[in-house]
Amino acid sequence: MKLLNRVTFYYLIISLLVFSFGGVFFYLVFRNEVYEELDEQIRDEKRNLERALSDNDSLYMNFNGVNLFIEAISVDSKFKMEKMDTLIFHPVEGELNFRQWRFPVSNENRIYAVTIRKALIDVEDLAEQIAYAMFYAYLAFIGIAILLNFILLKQIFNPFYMTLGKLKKYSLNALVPLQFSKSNTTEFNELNSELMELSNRIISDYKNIKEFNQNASHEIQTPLAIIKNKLELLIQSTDLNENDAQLIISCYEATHRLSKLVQSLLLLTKIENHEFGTSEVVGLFSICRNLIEQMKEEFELKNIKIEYKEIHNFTSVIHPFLAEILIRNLLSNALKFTEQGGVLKIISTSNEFSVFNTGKPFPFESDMIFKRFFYVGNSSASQGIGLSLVKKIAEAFNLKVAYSYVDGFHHFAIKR
Amino acid sequence: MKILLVEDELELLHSMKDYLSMEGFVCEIAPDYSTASRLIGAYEYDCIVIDITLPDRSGLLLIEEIKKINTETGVIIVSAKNSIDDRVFGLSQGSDDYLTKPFHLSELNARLKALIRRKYFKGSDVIHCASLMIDLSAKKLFVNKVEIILTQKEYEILIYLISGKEKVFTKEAIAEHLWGDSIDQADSFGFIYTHIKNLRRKITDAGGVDPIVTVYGLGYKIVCQ
Repeated sequence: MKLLNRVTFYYLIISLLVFSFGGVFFYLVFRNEVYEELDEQIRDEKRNLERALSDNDSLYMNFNGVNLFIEAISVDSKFKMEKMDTLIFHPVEGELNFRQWRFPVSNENRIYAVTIRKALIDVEDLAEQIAYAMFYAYLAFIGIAILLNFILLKQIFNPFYMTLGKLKKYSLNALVPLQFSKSNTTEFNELNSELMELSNRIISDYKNIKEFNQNASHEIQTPLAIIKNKLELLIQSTDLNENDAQLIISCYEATHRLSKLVQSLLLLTKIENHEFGTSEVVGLFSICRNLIEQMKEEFELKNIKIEYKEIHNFTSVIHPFLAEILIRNLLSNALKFTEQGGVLKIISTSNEFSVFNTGKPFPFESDMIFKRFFYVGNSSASQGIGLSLVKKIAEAFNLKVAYSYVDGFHHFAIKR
Repeated sequence: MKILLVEDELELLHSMKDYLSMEGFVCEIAPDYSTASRLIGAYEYDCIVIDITLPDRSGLLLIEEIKKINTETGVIIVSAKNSIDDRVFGLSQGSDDYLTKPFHLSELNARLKALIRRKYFKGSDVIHCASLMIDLSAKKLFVNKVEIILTQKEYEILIYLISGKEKVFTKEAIAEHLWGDSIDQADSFGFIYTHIKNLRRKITDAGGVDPIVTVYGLGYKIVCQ
């Protein structure tokens, strides 16, 4: 949930609670006030009546109506004052709520039961009215809250969103530390300065690691080349017996593998560092055809049928040497995993360059494919670096690589 | 054939010299630019192998110097694997071939021989080996004077192996020669095996003596007897 929405959401929840409780409270207070007022009036009337009755004022004796009636009761009956709400039927308005006091009044010889009623405001109406009022007030409040959020918070949080935007766009490869403009909020300034410091530290670490990688790889290359060449000379020696030869093979193969590995790593670092010079517009399909021509006999040895389909030339601005490595690795992969008598399909459209090949599905998650040093089985001669090179090269030139397995075909696609 | 090897890594320099001397080249060596420059001024070479990254000056400048003295001299550039721009520049400067480091000595030997053939044996160029005769300009193999049709890879393997007679060519060197990095290493050995098997069968089917010898698990060599 977005920050602003979240703040607004909590505003709404809390104000909803406040308004509901406020409404109930308001209702109770108001009701209480109404009763007190009515009871006060009735009490006044009661006092007047008692005085009149004790003076034996017969005027009241005969007065009977809806809201006040007096009846004589027997001396023996004892009853106490009763206060209650009652419903009286009104021919026009139906049932009406009344406040009613019924109490005894006595003079020398008689006891009277007096009932005084006062019309009550309809309590349900009252609750309804208050609920309406509260609801409209709440709506108004929401409107104001949202408006405030979008005007005020946007203003206040603007530096925050600027910082966030810069972080999103930030790439370590540029090796430029983060820069922020000053804001009026202390916390944001602190955040920005911490981020700047962090980016400075990361950049210097990153530079060191890159430098180390490159130097180490370079320095490893030369001794490896020496070992390799000396072994090659040793192999030429005429009096090798089979045991010696086996020892030399092991050394030679291991050295060769190591040397290939270092080369690949160097290449990867160079790609990651964008150290390749001028790119040009390159058509992947034609590169692919040339490379397949070089590997034609090997595809034939495995009886792999090759189908080409060029609907459009897929062109991209990319370093030609890297474009070749990219395609070469895709083809090498296809050659490796296509079974005898399988099919290789190369399809080029203006938006996508695809390599399809038949083969068994990979026994692992498809997103592992582009991981470095991930290879099928434990084939020691495979580096498991080919497809990660493909991905790195594609990414370096703003292309995407996708893999899927459909209808028995492995499908690698280079997309814009 | 007299060649000059320019390389600042002394161990590599000596390895190259040892291997190429075995192949019958007369080799002189220079570990830096100034030595190389002096030697070029004083002697004539058929071919020069230059490492581009030298301690004192760029090997590319040396090419200019050589071409000023004798345009006929063959030049092979050796450069670090990833300096593609050097490679392109070197070729445009008049070098005849390039090799990326690290390379197999057998590859350097084959490139040198190919270059020398191109430069000095214009026209018909034929290699004999026992009952085999290879016409390099026509790219054809004859066994007992009958032409044998080879696939391109079979022909390339044969020419490569024959460039270093009785030298052992490792599977790795053959794989790199044929495909560069195009094919996964694990697969390439299988393909080499198949190609060589087919090549042998074609030669023996035609009544020739198969000159290819398998050397333990190391690789192959050609013995012409």
